[in-house]
Amino acid sequence: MITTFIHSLQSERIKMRRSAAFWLVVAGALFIPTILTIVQIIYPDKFSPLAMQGEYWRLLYKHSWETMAILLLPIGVILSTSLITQMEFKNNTWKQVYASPQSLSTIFLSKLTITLLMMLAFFILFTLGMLISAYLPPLLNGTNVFPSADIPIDLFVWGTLKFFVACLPIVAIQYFISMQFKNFLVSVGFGLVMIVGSIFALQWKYGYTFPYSYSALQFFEVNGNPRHPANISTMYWSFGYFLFFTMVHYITYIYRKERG
Amino acid sequence: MKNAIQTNGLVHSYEGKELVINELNLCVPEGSIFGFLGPNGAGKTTTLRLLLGLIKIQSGEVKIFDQSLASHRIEILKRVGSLIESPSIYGHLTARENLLIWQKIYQCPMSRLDEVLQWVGLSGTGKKKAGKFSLGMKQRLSIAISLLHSPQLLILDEPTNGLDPQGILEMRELLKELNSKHGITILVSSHLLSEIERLVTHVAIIDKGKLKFQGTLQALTSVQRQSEFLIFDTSDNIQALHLIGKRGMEGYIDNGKIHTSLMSRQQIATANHLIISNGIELYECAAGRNDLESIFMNLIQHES
Repeated sequence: MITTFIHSLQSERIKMRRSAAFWLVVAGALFIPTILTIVQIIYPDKFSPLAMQGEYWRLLYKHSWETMAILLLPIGVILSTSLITQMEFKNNTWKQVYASPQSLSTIFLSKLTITLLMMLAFFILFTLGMLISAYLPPLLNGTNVFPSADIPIDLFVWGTLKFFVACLPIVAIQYFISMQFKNFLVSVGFGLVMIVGSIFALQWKYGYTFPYSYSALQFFEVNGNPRHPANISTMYWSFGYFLFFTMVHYITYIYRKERG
Repeated sequence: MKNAIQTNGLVHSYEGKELVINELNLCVPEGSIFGFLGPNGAGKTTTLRLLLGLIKIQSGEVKIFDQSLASHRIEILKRVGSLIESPSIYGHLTARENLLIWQKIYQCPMSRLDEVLQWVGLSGTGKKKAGKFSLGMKQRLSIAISLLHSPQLLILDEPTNGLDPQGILEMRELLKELNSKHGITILVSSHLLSEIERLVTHVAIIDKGKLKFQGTLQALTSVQRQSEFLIFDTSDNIQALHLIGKRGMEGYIDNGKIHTSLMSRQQIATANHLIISNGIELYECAAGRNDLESIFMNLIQHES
């Protein structure tokens, strides 16, 4: 079972080569760091003093995640998850996948795993991009004023991991929807409506119950300005939603009468 | 002879409506090239999808290599290659990368990649993305994918769709070679008998979900022999038909000519004499024969 799963995952990895989802992950992860790098190169006088501050990394982390957490990350997750399943519809390959000697569970899990791995790659690239945006501008503009403080590993590793968990409900729901509908616009349209909903949910006292809002809530929590009650763990909610929607999806998937 | 595929009382309907497959008992002998014929909408693709487990079986049974598909799906699919309807290929990848995807699943030797690419004439495509291939090339790549794991059974749904005459000829030769040299049983569907009559050893004809004929190509040809007839072309067909009818020789007028069942030499002489002696001009008296296509059409139109 595990060997078959690994082989299936290897085949999913090959499918990702030069795919739209692959380029979306690369471009999406490097977009904000590239902008921050360019801004720091253009305005060295404004940013060089910041590098000497102890809070430099937290500021960089905050600036990098600001737009990303509330808007770009959920949109990116919606698009990439939809693109990964859509690839099979677009290329007319579902029937070939289901006519291959793989169990239905293997197909379901390997598709979900490759989506999660792509997301993980996004977070790793984004974090590397943040580090590059700190070290590259001083090198290029010749100021050579590098950040003096140590990199806060807990923030860059655990903080980022929390953003990853915050996105899991979106992955599960989008995976569910994009497997049901051949039309790419259905899953993307639904996802975008949910993002708008999540922005409104931030104003609501029970906004933490909305599955698309955890990335934004995580951002406010990291910045010491939480928008949800202190006794509520958005991580548990997030993980709970992920498990719930994945299970519901799996059950409906297994009992489908027609495939491919 | 053992059967590679056997279906028993297969029944299928979409959303409980009209039966698309009705008590289908299909027997595909091992080592055969089996033509599965029927007009569009006859139930060919649904049958093939049932055989591959793409549709859940509602009633009846599918056995492949003597194993039930319901309980041995994975073991069976390891031995089966398929091409259902349009080509299934990843357009953003090269031909080789497309094969690599399936190599990982089937765990066949890497050397098979070049081997099957060579078979289907795509070894020179290099870095060209499959999305930029012509329809014929895409179809051939799909065949290569279905052959990658050296299957014992190939299930092909209208594999010549969209191919030009040269492509059809090449596909036919390839399938013949796979059958004769590698012993692969091939089930190939088509809506044109003329397209596959030079390829297949066995034929099944399906219409509205029901099997109309199943047997060897020779058996179908003998049906053709039984359908031989005589043609008379005269200046007054109605009068001529009336005259020969009086002597017990029944016929009908089709396409401006009299068609009768086969007669003895003596009966032909009598008919000729009757026509001419009554002042009717006789232009033609010849033996006619339905081609396989018209037999196919007769079979599927018989109960319409």
